[in-house]
Amino acid sequence: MGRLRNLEPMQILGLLGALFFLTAPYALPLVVPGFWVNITAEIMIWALFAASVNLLFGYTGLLSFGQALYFGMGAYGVALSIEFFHFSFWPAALTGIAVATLSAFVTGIFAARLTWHYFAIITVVFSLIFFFFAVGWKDVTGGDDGMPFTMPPVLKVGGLELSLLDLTFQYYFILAVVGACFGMMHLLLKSPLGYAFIAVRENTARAGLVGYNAYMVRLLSFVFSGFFAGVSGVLFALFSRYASAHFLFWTVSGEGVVWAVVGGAGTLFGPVLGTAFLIVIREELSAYWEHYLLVVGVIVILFVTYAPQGIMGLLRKAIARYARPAAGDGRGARP
Amino acid sequence: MTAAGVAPAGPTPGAFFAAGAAGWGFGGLAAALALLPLVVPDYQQVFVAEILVWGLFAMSFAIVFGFGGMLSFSQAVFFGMGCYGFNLGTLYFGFNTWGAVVSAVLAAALLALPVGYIATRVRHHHFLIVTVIISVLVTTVLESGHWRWIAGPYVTVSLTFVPEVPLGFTRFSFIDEWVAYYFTVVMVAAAFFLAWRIVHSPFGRAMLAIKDNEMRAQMIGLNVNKLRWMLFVLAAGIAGHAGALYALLARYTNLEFFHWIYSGKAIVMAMIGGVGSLVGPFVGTAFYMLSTEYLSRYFQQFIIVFGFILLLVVRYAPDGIWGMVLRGARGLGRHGQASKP
Amino acid sequence: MTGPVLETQSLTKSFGGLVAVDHVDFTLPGGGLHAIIGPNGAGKTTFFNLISGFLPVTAGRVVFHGRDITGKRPHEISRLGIARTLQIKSVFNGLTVIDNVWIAAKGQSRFLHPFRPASSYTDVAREAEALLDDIGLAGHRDEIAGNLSYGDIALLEIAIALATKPKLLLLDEPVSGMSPNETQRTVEIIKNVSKRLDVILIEHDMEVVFGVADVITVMTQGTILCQGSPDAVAKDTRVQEAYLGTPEDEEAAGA
Repeated sequence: MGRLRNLEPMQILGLLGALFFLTAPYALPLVVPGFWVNITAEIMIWALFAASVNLLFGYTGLLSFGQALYFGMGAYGVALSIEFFHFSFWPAALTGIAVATLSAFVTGIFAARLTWHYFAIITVVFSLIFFFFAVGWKDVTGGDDGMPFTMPPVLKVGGLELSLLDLTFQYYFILAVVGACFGMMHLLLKSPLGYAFIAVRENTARAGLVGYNAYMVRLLSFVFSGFFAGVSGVLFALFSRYASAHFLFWTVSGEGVVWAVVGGAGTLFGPVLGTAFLIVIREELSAYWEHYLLVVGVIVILFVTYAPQGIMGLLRKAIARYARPAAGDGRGARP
Repeated sequence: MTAAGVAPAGPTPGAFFAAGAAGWGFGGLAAALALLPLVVPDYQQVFVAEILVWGLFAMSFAIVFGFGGMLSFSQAVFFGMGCYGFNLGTLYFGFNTWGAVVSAVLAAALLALPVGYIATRVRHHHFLIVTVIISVLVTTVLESGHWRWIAGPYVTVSLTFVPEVPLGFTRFSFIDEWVAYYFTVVMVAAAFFLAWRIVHSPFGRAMLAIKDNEMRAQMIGLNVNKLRWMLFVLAAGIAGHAGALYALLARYTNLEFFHWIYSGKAIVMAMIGGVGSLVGPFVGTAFYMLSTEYLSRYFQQFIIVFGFILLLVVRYAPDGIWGMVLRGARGLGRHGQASKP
Repeated sequence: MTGPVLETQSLTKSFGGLVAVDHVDFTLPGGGLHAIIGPNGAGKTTFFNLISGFLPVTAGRVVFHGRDITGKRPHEISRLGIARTLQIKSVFNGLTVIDNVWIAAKGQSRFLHPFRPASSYTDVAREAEALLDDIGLAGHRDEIAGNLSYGDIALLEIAIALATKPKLLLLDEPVSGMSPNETQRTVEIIKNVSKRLDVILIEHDMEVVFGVADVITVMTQGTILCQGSPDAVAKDTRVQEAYLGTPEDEEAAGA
């Protein structure tokens, strides 16, 4: 208990969050209808997607409005390799991630040369190109209707068969993958490369003068971001058991941006908060009112205008106001 | 900032045609547009008029972006509002064509007042996000059955009558292609010259200062947010004007014009032509529309082609086709004008 | 070390019709503090911009330790050992002072590890700390760079430049806008640094220039007017006319 008392308020909130996600399949049904477990799983997937936007926007200073491209690539990578090439689970998942990362690399070669206005526009253009392509190539992609696929088992050892069709297993599978990705992102942001992202965001000219190749740094950020978006796309395809051209649509990209910004761009867990907040609003409101989008829009505008640091920024401010004075007094007592 | 920064422009009336090359250029262009119906068939006149209308729309984007530094994805909303205002004017209030065009501009500018007030309070990426969200909000409201009374029958409309332009004691009917053509040319030219005067006025100079260094501009006493807001509303009015001209020309309007995809189109056309000037967007639009007209016959997915063209332009000629032309002309002209450094 | 540290051969930069740097042949033999002076618009900063790869060269060559670096990008030139400060002070405004220096020190690595914690690079951290001590910013270690005083930002910029372990340091008006105290501190730092590595200094403060420089080059209108020891330059009548005389003319004109 002594150690717990030394925790920062943010760390306590983090632990509570972790506890929530770890126990959700068992704890949630006690208080709310069972489908909320699935919604929590969906929140985790989208949070990873929002985090991929955030890696580019919050840390490298590049706003992508085309992140859905890599999400969709991941989803189609899985769906097509299962449906057409009859891959089993793991090869299919890895194919999805590889396709997404690779396409991020190829498009990044062009996009990473550009900065903000032009970068935003070119990412939109890229994602639109592939969206129209996916819609048009209906035989393979299923176009607007999407293409369902049959779920192969995750693991089959003797009589033991684990499959995502078991919803509790599916939940923990998603939690494990998303958790691993956030762990990876944490390491990335604390590494020299992560520092380079921030250096390029803060002052590109100065970063160049001390030896950073700003283009390479942006490209690496873009590829990592595509990787994380790809993982989330793979997870979402597995979760919803189909892939659709709509995964590549700009609304998906836009939602990623909105979740990241409302949660707090430039913070590791801000996108989780933003995604959770806006998806819960969607779920709650859409039952009563089909135009929940208006509420979301107004919320986003309010955040961008009055709290550009997002929920995370508000939390920090609140902690500074209510928790820090006490801590400050305690410290002040000592000389 | 190529054309705008360099093109000579007098602050006093009448200085236009004393302005050397620019004056001759515009004079020649006006003559060409005036004589065009003599050489091209009717349907192509309408096509040229359409290029001018979409070019005007692209120009409205170039005003907010090229002169104000604001990457706006909400221009289509104001184009759509122009159509809406036009339909409202003709169908609800029973205005004649002039009145309907005025109501179109007013409708767009009125919506731009609150939208611009909110959007110009934030900067950079956040401005972009706000304008995207606003255009999503507007389309959501208009699409939904819930608020049908807002859209009414005034958003997606096909005119059942032929518009007429009353002028003095006579009326000109749009049944003649040449009327549609000349009316569009004159109205686009009027909007163009208004915009030209504004961006070359002290106000336009102030906007360039703000775009270049906002903090410095603030320190020399400019009310940055207000000026950005004014520019935003002005550009919205021009987009609305383009909307009204389109409604007249095509005699139909559609909800999809409000959609941000149309903003994206304006952005692509303006950027290909060059956003640093008012002429560039027209050049880009002409390039875009001519090539889609002739390319799309052979190649369905011409958007892919345009993606790559945009990529090349942004990478190698950020001032667009028009910027390249101007640079080339200046390179040639330097030999002749050795006295001017 | 044989041959000059830095050599420019007929280096030229023109902007449209304006020739900012006009066929400059400049040689830095090395070992000492070299200052470049000249009236505003003489092309001094443009000259730096060409050496550090900020601007593409119109014509001519830049040779650094026998190696042609013309047309290389800023980060490549930085890795070859040229560091510079900018006339308008440029640091990573949103980061702490120590992170500014750490990032600069790490910028020279070819490989940026994507997953190893930055905090585990204790050697880099030690270097950064030592540098802050040297430069006298240790007390501001954890402050956000953007909140520092103007003089401290200028010092931090020098620390950033030094963190890249340069062989040649280009300083562009390092003491402009500093208080007399800060100027004195900075001059001491520049003197110490110049014992270890080659320094080229652009400066308008004549007291500073004549106090520290071993060799002075005078530029006017994009060309080198003359070059020599401070004494020789001070006596040169062309310099007095072209440069030192100007303020008096202005005063006379203003009166």
